[in-house]
Amino acid sequence: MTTERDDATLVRTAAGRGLAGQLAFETLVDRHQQWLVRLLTHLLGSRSDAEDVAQDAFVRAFLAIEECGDGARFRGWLRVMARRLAFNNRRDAKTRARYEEGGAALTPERVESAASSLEGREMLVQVLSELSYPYREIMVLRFVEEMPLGDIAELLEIGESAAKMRLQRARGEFQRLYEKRGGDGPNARRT
Amino acid sequence: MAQTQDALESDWIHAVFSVLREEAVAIAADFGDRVKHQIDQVAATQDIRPPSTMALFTAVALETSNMAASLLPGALAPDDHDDHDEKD
Repeated sequence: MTTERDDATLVRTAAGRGLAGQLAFETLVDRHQQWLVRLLTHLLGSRSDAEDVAQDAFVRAFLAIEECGDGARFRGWLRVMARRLAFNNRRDAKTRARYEEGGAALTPERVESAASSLEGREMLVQVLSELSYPYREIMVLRFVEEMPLGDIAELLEIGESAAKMRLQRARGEFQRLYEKRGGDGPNARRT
Repeated sequence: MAQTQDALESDWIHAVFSVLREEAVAIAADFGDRVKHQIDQVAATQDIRPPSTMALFTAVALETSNMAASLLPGALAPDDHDDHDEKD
């Protein structure tokens, strides 16, 4: 709660511009870089891409800080911006990959081979990367960021029932792939 | 029953994802500095504030080194410049 209040103060100061505003924003960068890069790393599957997008998001946020409104919601505001940039980055990467012969994109056969010996965290990351982007996105927002469904719907700019349905399907697909890779599903853990 | 299964799957997925929730991502050591440097540049060029002392110092140093390089032997085209000087 204190953090939120501090964010509000920092955002107000940053919106006032000048050197004090810049320094206030730099404090926001220090405070929010960890979760932002983590979120983007899971969305994009690459820490390097995540850092590039996070950097872009911070710069855009700095330029538009007056539009943040309630500074206590800076994190959510930054997340919206980063999510859009991540989507664009992924789309651009996909376009690039189409033109790059023998790129790093994994074919189903290579995925099969690469995942066969994975365990724990690596398998989780692998399965996440195999999900379609909308499914991966909603799984990360719900189970890594632990966002409530209503907030997810707002972020994704869809209705809450649509978000619920997408999450349900994403969970099903995740579970199917996870078990296919040899991971223990919910029923295995119960026994 | 359906709800029980749903809750079970939810608990299971929460448990599976706990490893990602709890881990700290290793960000590049200079990430924060890179962001701040870019913000510094943007702030100066967008007239959000005057350039910082460091940015000014860097600009002056760059200009000085460019001048020094231009004064090195062979850096000028003597004939052209001599002509212009004479005409002026």
